[in-house]
Amino acid sequence: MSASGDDFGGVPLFDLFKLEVEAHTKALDEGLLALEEAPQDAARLDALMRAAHSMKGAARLVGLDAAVGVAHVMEDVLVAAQKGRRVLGAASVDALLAGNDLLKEIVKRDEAGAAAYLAARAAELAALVERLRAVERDEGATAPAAPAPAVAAVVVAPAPGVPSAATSAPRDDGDAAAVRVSATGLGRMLAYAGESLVEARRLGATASALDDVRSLAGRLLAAAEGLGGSGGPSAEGVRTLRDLAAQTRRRVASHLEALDAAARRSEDLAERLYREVLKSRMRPFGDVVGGFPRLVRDLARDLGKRAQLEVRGKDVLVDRDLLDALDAPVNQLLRNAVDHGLEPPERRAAAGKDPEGRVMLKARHRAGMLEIEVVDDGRGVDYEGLRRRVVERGLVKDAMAGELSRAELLEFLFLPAFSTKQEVTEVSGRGVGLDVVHTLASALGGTVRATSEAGKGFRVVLTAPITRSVIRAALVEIGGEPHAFPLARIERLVRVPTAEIHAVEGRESFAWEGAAVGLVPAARALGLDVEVLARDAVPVVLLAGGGHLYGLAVDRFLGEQDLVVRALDPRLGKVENVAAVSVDESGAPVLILDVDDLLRSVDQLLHDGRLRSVRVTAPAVEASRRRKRVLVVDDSITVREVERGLLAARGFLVDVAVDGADGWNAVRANTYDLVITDVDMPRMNGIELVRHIKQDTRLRELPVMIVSYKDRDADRLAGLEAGADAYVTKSSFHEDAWIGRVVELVGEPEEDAP
Amino acid sequence: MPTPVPPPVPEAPRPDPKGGDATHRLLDRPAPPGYLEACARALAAPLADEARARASALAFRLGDERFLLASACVREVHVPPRVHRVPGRTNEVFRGVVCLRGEIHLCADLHALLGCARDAAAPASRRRTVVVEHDGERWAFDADEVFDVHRYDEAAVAAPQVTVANAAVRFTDGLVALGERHAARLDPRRLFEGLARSLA
Repeated sequence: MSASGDDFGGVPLFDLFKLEVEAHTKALDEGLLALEEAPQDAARLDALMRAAHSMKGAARLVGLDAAVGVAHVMEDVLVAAQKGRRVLGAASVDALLAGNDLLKEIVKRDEAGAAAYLAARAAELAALVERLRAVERDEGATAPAAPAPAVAAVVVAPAPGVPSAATSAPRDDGDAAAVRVSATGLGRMLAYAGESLVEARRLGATASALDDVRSLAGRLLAAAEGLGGSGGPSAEGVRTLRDLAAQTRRRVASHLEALDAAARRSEDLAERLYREVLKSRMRPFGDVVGGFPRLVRDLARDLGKRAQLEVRGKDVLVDRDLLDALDAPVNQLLRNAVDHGLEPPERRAAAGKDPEGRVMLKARHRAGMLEIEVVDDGRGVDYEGLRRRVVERGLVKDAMAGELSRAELLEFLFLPAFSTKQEVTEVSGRGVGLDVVHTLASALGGTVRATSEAGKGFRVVLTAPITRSVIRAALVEIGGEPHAFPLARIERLVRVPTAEIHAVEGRESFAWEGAAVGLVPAARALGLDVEVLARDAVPVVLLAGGGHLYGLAVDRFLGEQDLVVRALDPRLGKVENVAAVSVDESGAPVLILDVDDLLRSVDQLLHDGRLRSVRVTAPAVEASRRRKRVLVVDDSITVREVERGLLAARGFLVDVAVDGADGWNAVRANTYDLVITDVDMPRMNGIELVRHIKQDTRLRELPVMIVSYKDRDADRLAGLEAGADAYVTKSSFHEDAWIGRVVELVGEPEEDAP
Repeated sequence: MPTPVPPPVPEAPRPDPKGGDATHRLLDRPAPPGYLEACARALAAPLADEARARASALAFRLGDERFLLASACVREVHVPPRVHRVPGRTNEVFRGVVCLRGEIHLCADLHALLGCARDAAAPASRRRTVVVEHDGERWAFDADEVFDVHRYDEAAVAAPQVTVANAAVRFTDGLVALGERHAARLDPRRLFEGLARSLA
C-alpha cells in the first residue's frame, strides 16, 4: 500500500512521519549509547521501547511495511532487555543502532524515494531483522558477564541530570521551542502592534495640544488679577473674564473628548492584540486528527476488519501544547478501539450489525474543559471475563472480585501492563496501552473515564483543560496581597455575618444550606502571619473537596479577572498551596492558588489542629515514649484505608496523603519515620516522590516503601533506582508479611525517646 | 537609572544677516584671567586612571556600605515594585516575587544576605530595584541608592579585608576605590550561590 499524495488537514502525512521518526531516532541514538554504559537503566529502556513503538505505529501509518518490521523487532529487543531477559551488550546495541540508521536513511528521502530505497534493499533488511531477532533470542548467552545482582538489593542513586522519559512531564520545551503561527494571524498581530504605535504617538500630539489650554488659563489668571484694581471690577473686565472662562471650558471639553476617544481606541487595540496573541496559542482540534482516519482504516485492514472513523468537532479550539500532548493518547485509544473493540465483519454481521465498524472521535468544550470521546460500536467489555482476568492477575482476591462494580472493573483497564487480549500484537497491547492514556491525561491535569455495554461498544472520555495559559479567576486579598482562585474550583463566594460564625473548641464554623461548614482564615492555611480584622461580615471562599464544603476567610474580594497563567520560577520547586503566578491589572504579581493542596491544608487545620495543640502543650508526658509516625500516600481511598488500618492496629501513628504532590508537601511539613507510597498517582507519581525525598538533604534518610500494582521487574527496578528502600507489589500483598517489612524498615512502633 | 547626558553640540556659527555680531562678540571676548593656564595644566597632567580603567561595574549602596557588581550582570534598574510573598518560601533573604515590565522575578533582600544595616533614613525616592543575571539565573534586589556605572582598573583592586566581621566578605572578591571610600566588589558566582541557598 502506498500513501502517495495523501494529505490530511493540509499537512502531508509523510512530513509528519519524517518529523516523528527524526525525533525518535535521535532519542534512540543518544539513549542506546548511554545504555551501553548502564544497561539496566529501566527508565531509559522504557523510553527507548516507547520510541521504537511509536516509530512502528508511524511507519504503519505511511504504509512502509518494511520499516514497520524493523521497528517492531527493535521494540522486541528492548522489551526483552526491559524484562531482564537480555542484557544489552555492545553487539546488541550495534544491531539496534543499525536498525536506527536504516530508519534515519528512510526519512532523508521523499515518500517515493523511501519506498524505492526499502524495495532495493529487501535482502539487507531481512538480514538486519534476522540479526536483531538473534539478539533478542540469544544475546543473553553471549553477553559479557555483566553482574546481574539480586534486584531487591540494588539501590542505585539516579544519575543526576538524566531525564527519565517515564516520569518526567511529557513535554519540556526549552526557550528555543518554536511555534507555528498562521500568516493571517501574524499579519493581524503586526497590524495591531503598528496601530498601537501610531496611537501612542497621537497621544503625544494630544498632550501638546493642551498647551493652548495652559495659555488660556494664563490669560484668565492675568485678567482675574487685573480685576482686583481700585474701584472694584469693571463691567468690561468681568466680561473678558467670563469670555476667557467659557473658552477654557470649551477647549478642555474638546480635549477631554479626544483623550477619551484615544483611551478607548488604545484599550480596544491592546485587547485585540492580546486576544490575537492568545489565539496564536490555539489550534483547531482538526489539526491533530490528520492522520487518524488513515490509521483506523489501515489498522482495520491489517487485522482483517473493516472500520471507518468519524470525526466531530474539528473546529474546537485547543491550546497548542495540549493538542500536541493529546496526539499520543488519542492515537492509542483509536488503536484500542480497532484492535480490541471492533469484531471481524462476519461476527458483526452475525450479531446483526453493519459489517463495517464505526469508530467515532468527538471533541467539544464542556464546562470549561475539553472533552474528547472515542466511541466504537464493537463488542464492548465482557465484564465477567474482565473479572476473571483481574483475579487471574492476582490483583484482587476472588471473593472481593465478585463485589466489584462495572465502573470499578473498568478502572483495571487503565492499570499498567493490563491487557485483556491474550496475545501480544504489533498493533497494541503489551502495556503500551490504556495505562499510557491514563498517565498522559493526568499529566495534563485531566481524567479518563470508560463506559461500556457488552455487545454494544466501548466509550472512553478523556477530559482535559482547554488551555493551560489563561484561566478565569476570582481575585481575593489574603494577608494584604492579591491571590487568585480558579473560578472553576470555587463553590461560592459568600459574606458571612460575624454573628453567624460559631466557635467550638477553637474551631470556627458557620451554617450554609443546612450544613455546618468549617471556617479557616486563608492566611493561616497559607502559613502567612494572621491579622484578625474586626468587621461585621467575613468574606468567605467556599471550596468543595471530598464531598465536604470548606470555608476560607479572606481579607476581601477583589473581583473576577482573566489571568494569564505562568509557571512559578522553577528554582522554587513545588510551592505548597500555590499552583502558578500571574499579573493583575495594576501590574502586580498574583499567586494562583492550588485548590487541591489548599483543601488538604484546610482539612489538616480543621481536624488535626486540636491534636497538634495537645501535642504541643503536653510533650513532657510523651517524652519518654515516642510513637513512630508513618505517611501513607495513595490515590485510592480503599488502599489508603486498608494500610492505615493495618498500621494503626500495629501501633503506628498514621497520616495519609492523596497523591505524590500532597505527600511531598506532607513530608516537608511534618516529621515521619516511614513513607509508604503508591506509584501511579495524579500530579506527582510515586517514583517522583521517592526521588524528591532522596534528593533532599534533610529527608534523604527517611525510609520509603513502594506498594504498587506494577509488578514487572522494570517497574520494581525503577522504584529501587529512584531510591525506595522496599518495593512491595499489591498482587503479592500479604498483611502480616507487609507489616513485618514495615517493622524491618523502621523498628517497633514505640521506642524510648533518645 | 542615571541616563547619560549627551554633551551639548555646538551649533555652527550662523552668518549674521546684519553683518555683525552679538554671536561674534560673545565668542571673541577675552578669556577670564587664569582660564588658559588652568586648561593648559589640565591637558599637561598625566592621563587620569580612567584611561586604564577597563573594568566596569554598577555601584550601589546598601545601608552604609558601597558595593560594585560587574556591569555584565546588571539587566535593569527600576523603581521598586510591590513584593508579593510566597507562602512557605519567603524568608529573611528570599522576599518573594516582583513583576517588572510584565516579567516575574524572584526578589531577594541583599541587606540580609550581606549583613548590612538597612538605611531607614534614606529617602524612599532614592531606593531602586536592580535586576541582575548570572549564568542564566535572574534575581531582583533593592538597593538604598544606585550610583552609576563605575569604571576602574582591574590592577588596582585590593584584596578584601578578612578582618571585617561582616557577612559580605564571603561574597566579595576585592575592594575598589570609589571616591574617597572603598566599595566591595561582589563575586557574581558566590553571590548567586548565596541567593540560591535562600530558596533551599
